[in-house]
This record gives sequence, structure tokens and C-alpha cells, in this order.
Amino acid sequence: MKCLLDATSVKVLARAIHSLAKIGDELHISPMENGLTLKTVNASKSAYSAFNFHLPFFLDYTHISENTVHADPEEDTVIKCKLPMKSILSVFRSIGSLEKSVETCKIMLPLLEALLIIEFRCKHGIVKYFNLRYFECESVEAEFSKEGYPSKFSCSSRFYSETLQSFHSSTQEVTWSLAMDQVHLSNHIDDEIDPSKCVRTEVTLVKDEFIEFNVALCTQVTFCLKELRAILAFAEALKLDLDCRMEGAGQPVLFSLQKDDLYSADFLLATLTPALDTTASISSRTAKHEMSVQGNTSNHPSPVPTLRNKSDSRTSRANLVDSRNGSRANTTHTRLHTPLIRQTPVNDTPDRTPRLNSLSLIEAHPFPDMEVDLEPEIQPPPNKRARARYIFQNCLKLTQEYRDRPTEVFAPDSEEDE
Amino acid sequence: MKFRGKMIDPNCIKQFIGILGCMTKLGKSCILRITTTDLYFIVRESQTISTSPLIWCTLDEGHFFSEFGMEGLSTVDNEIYLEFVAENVARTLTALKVSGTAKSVKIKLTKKLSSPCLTFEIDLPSGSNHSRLVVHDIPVNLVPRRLWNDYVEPEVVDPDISVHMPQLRLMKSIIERMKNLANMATLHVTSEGLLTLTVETEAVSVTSHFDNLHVEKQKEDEASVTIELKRLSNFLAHEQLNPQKVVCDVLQSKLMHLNFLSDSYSLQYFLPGINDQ
Repeated sequence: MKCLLDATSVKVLARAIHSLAKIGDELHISPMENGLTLKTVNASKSAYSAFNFHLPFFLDYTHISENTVHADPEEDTVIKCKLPMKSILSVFRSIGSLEKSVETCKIMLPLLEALLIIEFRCKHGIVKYFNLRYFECESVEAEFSKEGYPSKFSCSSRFYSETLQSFHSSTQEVTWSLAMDQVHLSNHIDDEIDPSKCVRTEVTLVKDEFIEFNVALCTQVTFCLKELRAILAFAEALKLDLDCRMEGAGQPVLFSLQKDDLYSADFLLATLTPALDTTASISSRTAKHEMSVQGNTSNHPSPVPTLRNKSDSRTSRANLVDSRNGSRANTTHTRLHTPLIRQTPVNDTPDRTPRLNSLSLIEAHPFPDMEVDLEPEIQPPPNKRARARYIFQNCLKLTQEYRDRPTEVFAPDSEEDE
Repeated sequence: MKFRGKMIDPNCIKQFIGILGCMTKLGKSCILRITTTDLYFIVRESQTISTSPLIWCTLDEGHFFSEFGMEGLSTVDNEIYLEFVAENVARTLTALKVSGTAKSVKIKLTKKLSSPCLTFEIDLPSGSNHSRLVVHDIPVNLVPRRLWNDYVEPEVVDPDISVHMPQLRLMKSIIERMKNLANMATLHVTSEGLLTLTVETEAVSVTSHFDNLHVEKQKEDEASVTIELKRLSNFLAHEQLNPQKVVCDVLQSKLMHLNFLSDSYSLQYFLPGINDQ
């Protein structure tokens, strides 16, 4: 991959990286035919964000990495990689100094060296090179469609920022209650804390304040503010409008922005699932399990419904799918892994507490699925930290199989026991 | 018990929030006393080497509120005493600062989730002629009648000398640097309008002199008191008010009293002297 950016585009790219850095720890770079995509997922897999830079954004762009020494079209390939966010952030850290000195920026992913090379041509003839090591990887992707969300509203990013100013910066989660003609935002209080001892804040926004407002379903959605603030930091700096699409509690929320045909960005955030009753949870578990079995045996990534409140059969809006390696000719990549579905153990405990619904991201995993016997006992609830944050830790555990497996007898008893 | 007040003047709102800000950074809990004519904020710090300092602030409701109504505990004791955790309000304040542009701020005593709260309802203008309602519920405790006597208005100080303080910003930055040398400082005021602040360590002694200060009252020719610089620095760091004048009263060895005077409010800071023996 090779691309050339001018001064203004470098700034936009830098802001995008800053925004992604606030969300996740690793930056995934995916060159596509029609542009460059930068993605990240946060550590608890509850937020996914992708910036798509289209062809007009660049002065020059090639998505294939060529062998520069011996031109060999057989070897050309598209390199997808990931880098620790810190390393690339250090290159683009100071937007002010980028603004003052950088004239053009070239970013290259050469075939022969395993490096991401960034070249800044600055004023006064100074040229700066940054060689960053990357990791080859299967890229992480979320497939989602922008259609089909019942509720959508959009307004300028400054509007969102102003609204959020009413909440203290330490507020972690905010609940958005959608009604036909207004939106209420209120700070979400963890179940463990007595709400009558906390400050409760509520902001009401009427329909007329939005550029576009279309709520089909009256519902309540709760998600973390941290990622939203990262989004707003980018959008406000570039004075863009932000679209918000919501479905319902437990379903992911989609924020998107777009600048003409230059670039666009999408942010998928997981939301808290409201309290479920046990029957619904069991049926959702079995539904999930059936899907996971298929997923493990098939060679093609199967769309897996995200955890739902009701055991619906329709496929979910946000299917997170393992994306395959672009080209099979690339011998440096390791074998393709069967997709493993990692899912939050929703409602291990039949208690009625909201939990943050992880975005069931599927990442290739080199190790086989480890089966863990699910204990029917309730795990002791976290007493100190917020439940949502505890659940994030749970997301890193591997899939738990729920069903009874038919026991295969490998070595029958040699003696009959009476 | 009922309380309802509405502020519509942006300057008043800003001042009110500034005063709240001052109070809440300085102690763990703060008492709000509401009478038919005034609002009082009382903070008593609890960490002590000596007797605790006290902040007492009186706000004239007529100036701040365009609408004001209250009903106290009973017709005889027609007052309300509320206690709230300073941190809660401090945290909400950063949000309330937005209300610098608010159209109106309503403060009410309400009962939500079966416990009493102080509710701030802020009407913010947004876009073109729309308005947005922001509601903050801050939980409070009602102080029982028998404890009301703990919060009596302090007696008027009869100082040995009383001078107008020099520019507070100047004092604040100097005190901030001096406190790094030592915590105890001696404040010395003379009837010629000279105020000195002295810090002594083993190696060095530093004195700041402020002169040509206007002397209000003098019973003695001079007075001095030993105070804790950390406390004073803490107080000055958080105050964001621009009072018309600040009067410093000194009672020999006993007390340093700062009195912020303004048309609509008065804030008093009592810093007791330390007997360093």
C-alpha cells in the first residue's frame, strides 16, 4: 500500500488517529481498493470504530504492495496489519506542529520490509521518516448495515458536546430515553450504588433541536460516554454532523459521520442489556449455542446474531464476522483460522441486572475452543466495581458451552459393575 | 418543609455558582440554612490541629432570587437546615457552569426516590429559541432541630486591628510559594497599614510586606497571629469571587478573620491562630 496526503489531509488523519487512540489500543490498517480503512476495537470489545478514507482524500493511492526490487505481479499483495496505538500516535501526536511544518505525507506498507513507513516532507527541506513495526493479523471487522435501525437522529457535533457538558466528566454511562418527540439523557447509576445518594442529572432535548429526528420506537439505551467523547473530539474539530442510529436496549448503537466523498467514519457501541427474566435468557443461550456450533465447523464465517433479549430468529443488525485474509497468495500469513465466536456469557446469573452487551466480535484464535463446564451456581456478583466493568473482564474468557454433550465412550468398562 | 427559588439574572447566577464553588471545595459537608430573608452556607472543616475554622456565607435572597418561597420546620422555627456532601455539588458544579448562559435556574427542595433532594432545574437556551431543560438532583440530609444550635451565627469579631487586604490574587500566589517552605506563618498587622507574612525555617526566613493598606479599625497598635498557610492557601485557591473589598481582622494570637463584603452577599472565613508552643 502506498498513499500520499497533503497538509490538510494529514491533519484529518492525525485527528482520526487521536480519536481511535482514545478508543482502542491497537490500530488495524486495511487498504481496500477504494480507500484506506483504519479500525480499532476497545479492550472490552464493546466499541468498534472505523474510519474510511476514500480515494479523493489522497493525492495518490495504491492499495497493493509491490515488490520494488524485482517487479513481480505474482507477489503483489494487499497487506493488512495492526500496530500498537502508541507507536503511531507518537508520529501524529502534535497536530499543531503537523500543521506548522508538514507539507506532504507519504505512508507506505512495502512488501519486502515488515515496516509501516511514514515520510513527512516538511518546510525548509526537512524530511522525516518513521519506521513502525507492525503485526500481521486477521483484521477485525464488524458487519453492520445502516438501514433497518428504527430510530435515527442527527445533529451537529457541537450540539452533542454542549449537551454532554451538563454531565460531569466522571459520568461513565448515560441512558438515552427516546420518546416520540424528545430525547432524555440521564446519568446511569450502577445497581450497587444507592441511587438516592447520588446526584442524578437529566437533560431533555426536544425534537426541534435536531437536524433530523426519526424515532420509531420508544426505548431506553445506555452506553459509555468515553467513546462518544472520542468521537465528538474528532467531529467537533472538523465541524461535522453526527448521525445516531439506535434500536433498543441491548442492541448496539451506531454513530456515523461523513465528509462529502472524502471520508466517513462509523462507530459501533455496545449498550447495556436491561434485566432479563430467566426463560428468555435460556432460550437466547441455546440460540447462540446453535450458531456457535455451525460457526466452528464451517469454513466460511457465518453470521452470528449478537446476543438478544428475545430469542428472535431474524439476523441481527450487527454481525461481527471474521474477515479473511485478502489474498491467498501471501505466504507469509499463517493458516486461516476457523472463526471462533467469543461471546459474553450473558446471564450466567439469573438475577435482574443490566449488563453491557459485548459486540460479539469474532477474531481468529489460534487455539482450539476450550470447553469450560458451566457451573449452574451463580457466580458471586462483583461487589465493588460496576457490573459493566466486571463483565468486560468476563468477555475475555472463552466461550462456555452450555449444552450436555453426548458422552462418547472410548474405552468401555472391561468388567461389568453391579 | 418547602423551598423554592428562581434566579433569572445571569450575573446573579454566576455569583451564586461561584459562592457554591468556594464552599464546596473546602470541607466534606456543607450546611445550607434557609430563612425567609437569607440563605446561609456554612462549612466547618473537621481536620484540626486547633479548633476548626469556619466559613460562613450569607446571601440576601432578595438580590439573587426573583421568586422565593419557603416554609420552615414549623411556624416557630421557620428555617430549614440541609446538609449535603460537598463533593456531590462540586462535581455537579462543573456542569452547572454551563448555566452561565442559562435563562433561569430554579432550586427546589424535593423528595425523589423517597429521600430529600435539592433539585436544580436549569433552563438553557439552545439553537434558535429552543430551550433545553437540565435537571440535577442532589441528595441532602435534613438536619434535625436539636442540632441547629451547632450552626449558630458566629459572633461579630471585635478585632485588634482591621485592614483591607491587598489584591487577593497577589496574596494567593505568594502564599502558595511560601507554604512550600513551612506550614506555619506569622501574620503581623500594624496600625500604619502594613501587613507582613513571615515564614521561618532552619535555613531561611522569608517575609512578604504589603503596605499602604487602608486601616479600618484599630484597638491596638499592632497585632499578630500564627496561622496555617496550607489552609489559607486552600481557601484562596478555590475562591473565584470578585468582592468589592476584603477585610482582614486580626485578633492577637487568636484569630485571623477574612470578610468578603459585597452588596448581595458576605462571606466570612475564620482561621484560628495556632499557639505554637
